[in-house]
Amino acid sequence: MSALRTAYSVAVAVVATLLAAPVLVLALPFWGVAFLTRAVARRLEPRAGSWRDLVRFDPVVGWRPRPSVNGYFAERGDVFHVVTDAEGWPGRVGVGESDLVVFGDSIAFGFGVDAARSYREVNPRLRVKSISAPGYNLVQELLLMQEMAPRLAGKLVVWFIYHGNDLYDNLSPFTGPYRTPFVRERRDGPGWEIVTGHLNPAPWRYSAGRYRDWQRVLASLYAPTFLAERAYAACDFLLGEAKRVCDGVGARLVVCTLPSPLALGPLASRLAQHCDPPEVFDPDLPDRKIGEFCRVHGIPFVAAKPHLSPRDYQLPDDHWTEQGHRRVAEILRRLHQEHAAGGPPVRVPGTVVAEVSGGGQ
Amino acid sequence: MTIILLYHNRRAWLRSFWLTMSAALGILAGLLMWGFPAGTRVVVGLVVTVIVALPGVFRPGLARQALRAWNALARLFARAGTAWLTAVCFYVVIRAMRGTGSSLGPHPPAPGDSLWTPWPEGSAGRTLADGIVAARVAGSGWVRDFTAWVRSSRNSWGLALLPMLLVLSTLETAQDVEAPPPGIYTLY
Repeated sequence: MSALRTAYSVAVAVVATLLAAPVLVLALPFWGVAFLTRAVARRLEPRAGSWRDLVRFDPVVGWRPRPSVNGYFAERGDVFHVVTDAEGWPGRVGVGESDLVVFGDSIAFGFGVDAARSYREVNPRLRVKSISAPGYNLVQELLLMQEMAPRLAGKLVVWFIYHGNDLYDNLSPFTGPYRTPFVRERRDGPGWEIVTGHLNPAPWRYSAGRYRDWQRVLASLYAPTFLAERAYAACDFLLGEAKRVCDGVGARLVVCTLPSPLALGPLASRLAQHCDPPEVFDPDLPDRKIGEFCRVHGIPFVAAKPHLSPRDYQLPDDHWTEQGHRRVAEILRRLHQEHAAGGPPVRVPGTVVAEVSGGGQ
Repeated sequence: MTIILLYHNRRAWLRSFWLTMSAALGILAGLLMWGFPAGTRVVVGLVVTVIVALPGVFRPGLARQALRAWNALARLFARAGTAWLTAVCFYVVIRAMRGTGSSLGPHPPAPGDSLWTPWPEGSAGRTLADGIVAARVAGSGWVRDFTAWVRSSRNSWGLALLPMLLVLSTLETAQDVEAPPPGIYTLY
């Protein structure tokens, strides 16, 4: 009986295989192309790590890039070359010998392009140092500014504020499984305070649902919403603190806002659909608000929005292409030129510029 | 290995895809010269390959649209192929094996019932799923696990499913391998 069952099984397997044969034959070209493409690509591409290989826990700001990295990484986009200095900050030039120091997140880090093609390196006559890491919010960048303040004396400090996530991330105690410093309204009176007491290497396991509806969250920052009100108030507080830190050591702070590609050109109308009603969506609201705060604090302000288009981003990723980096390098060159000439207000043609009302270096 | 090609935004993948397609066109050109001397066919094939390959090697961005189109075609084929193979599995293999007295029920579950099988502890291998787990060879692939279960449970009819399962594993559906949606968080 067992032999009969086996024979029956084999017969059915043969019939099934014959019926599947057309699919097998038609699949051969697809398999061939897939196999060869993968095989050749592996030989053409350097072995790449992920961002997890790039950062380590830090008790002050949550995480920092690993020091003395010289390797290749890939996330959603192309493989790219990363170089960090002995402290972990991108690029080989140190803070001391730099002409200009940029604070920012992954965009300032140069995520997605080879180090040699980033905005830091494309102009060999301008030594740019970037204090940045993927996922940083403005609170982390402010804490680093405070930590590095003595080394910023006399420098031009450019703070990149990315509309895409910085404004909201400032209010959040986590980024994915990572604990981040954040700001909250004071319990003992008006104003804001920085919270770092929850930082430790243990993964954050709460409120991950925040990412499910991120487009609606992002859109709400371009409209008169409760979230926008809080996010901009927190940003105002952080700008004031940064100005105080830089003034304290004789550094000159300039704020440069970076647009989300989703709020540029035709993509903006799609983002607006997440507002209710869509007509309240205002793509210039972040620049107008931050520009106004800068005016009040006496911080020169440049909006990069007029200089960038969706083509300068690695869509669907939101990091710059090499062309985007060249455009930003040009903005920095002009900023440094103005700084070297000694005078506020900073004027970069084509940008929104807030007049400085005292306090500028 | 899935037939869908990932990473249409990676230069190395674009170059590689372009080179592969150039070689395929070169071979096709050689085949179309049927009747000519073998040497002539080889030279023509090589010339076509090199001429087609050069633009993509120096400007890999040119291959992006071609790779997207190829992936779209591959997904279409994967969907149709998956539908056909699962139909063969269900209407031929499982129904035929029902006749041998197998306890595997070829009917969908009643409303409210579930076919989910909990992870077995000390399972005796009574059902397909827990039997495969029980017969599992540490560190081996699923094919070895499956055949180990077929042997240990004497359910030789399971071998009839194996060719189907092997092909299905390469026909992943679009949502399994599609690039993530535009996101604002690089970390995830």
